[in-house]
Amino acid sequence: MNTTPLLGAEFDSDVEAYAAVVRGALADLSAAQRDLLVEDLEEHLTEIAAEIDGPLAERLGDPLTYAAELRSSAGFDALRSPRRARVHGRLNDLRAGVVRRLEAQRGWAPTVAFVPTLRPAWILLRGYLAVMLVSAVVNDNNRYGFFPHLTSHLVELTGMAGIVLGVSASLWLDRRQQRGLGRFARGAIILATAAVVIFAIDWALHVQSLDQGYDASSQGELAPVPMATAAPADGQPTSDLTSVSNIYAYGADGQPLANVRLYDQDGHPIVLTDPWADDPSVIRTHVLQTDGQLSDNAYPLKRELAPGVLAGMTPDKLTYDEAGNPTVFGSTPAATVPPLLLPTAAPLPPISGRP
Amino acid sequence: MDSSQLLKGVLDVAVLAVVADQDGYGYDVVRRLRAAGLDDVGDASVYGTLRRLFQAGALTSYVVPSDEGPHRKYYGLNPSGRDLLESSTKTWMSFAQTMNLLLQHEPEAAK
Repeated sequence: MNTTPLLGAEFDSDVEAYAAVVRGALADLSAAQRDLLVEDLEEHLTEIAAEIDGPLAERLGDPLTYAAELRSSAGFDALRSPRRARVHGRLNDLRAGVVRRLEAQRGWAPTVAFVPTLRPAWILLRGYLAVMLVSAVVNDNNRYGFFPHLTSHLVELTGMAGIVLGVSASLWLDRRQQRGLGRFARGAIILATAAVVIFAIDWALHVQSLDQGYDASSQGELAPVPMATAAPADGQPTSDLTSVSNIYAYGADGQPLANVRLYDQDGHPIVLTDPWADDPSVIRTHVLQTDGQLSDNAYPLKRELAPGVLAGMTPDKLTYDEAGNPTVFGSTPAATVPPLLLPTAAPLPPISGRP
Repeated sequence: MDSSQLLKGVLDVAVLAVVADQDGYGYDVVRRLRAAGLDDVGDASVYGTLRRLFQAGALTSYVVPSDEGPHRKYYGLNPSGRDLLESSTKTWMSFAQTMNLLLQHEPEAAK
């Protein structure tokens, strides 16, 4: 029988495992009281282990019972309110009953032996999930990728650093856990673990729905566009159609439209975040309005490569004809493309009549 | 009748008696109690009792380094412990006598 179904941790010996459960059961005592009770616990257990063949629990009984006996005979039961002690006792009985019933099941023993082997994976995973949780908080829950976005600049660097830091912290915490923690630290860990697990479920559901969206778009259907819901301050342009960097509008006749100005429900111009805003090799050309102002919300946006930039770096997959109108996806005659603009290597399937 | 319940009430004096005989460490005290016939005595109870008596000032303690095994914490009686053993012994004797009388009369009373 495995004596440590509660902890799930791996121990070098039966003695360590047994002692860990006993210490855990006394965790509500002050450090001084606990130390007094268990100062030579390992020595005692080691001596018994040397005398017997089987597991310690066979000779000493359940480690929780051992701890309760130690506590009551040392007179530390009085520290608890009788009511709490009663509730605690009942919970212990209940737990023992459940464990007994589970142990009677076939498959329980292999499962108990298997679960601890997953612990290292969980330690790594919870560190990563904690960083993703921070990322979700920082980004107001708007990004559902697999890589944390912790800062607006140097995203790759800070993301990697965040993952390394999170996993390291998790490993460190694991070491502390193995050595035993105070009551409040254990409570905090339980709360944090619950938060990480709840976040992970929410996150997994979102990642899954995004995946389905991508799949649909690769099959030629239009996937719903994830859109930020943050309301802009009055007079400010609406922005953040996340993951959209350009918009191509088509008329009812199937012809592409140029200089289409887009506004949201409040009359704010819709301005897309330009992923190439900081890239000097991409020149973004705004459309002139009748009043001579540059329009940020006229689509499609024209982006051209700066002179001297090598081929293969065209930002958009769509190109323009000589009149400045966008050519339709998939039917671009290469000859009409201006020398600096490049046709896409893999034309997308035609968009079904919807704008 | 569950003797483990009785044992709880007299474990203090039993432990004091064993330690008065000769200083001992936790597991040693457990063994000697069992050898004396208290088979049901629990390891944890003895360890807890030793701690409590020590905290109460009835025992002295000292660590003995060991070559082959772990260092051991030995307990011995101090004067206050001897007083406690003496008074506890008196209490037990009188209690046991009372119980013996009661139980010896019991069958007649039941008639």
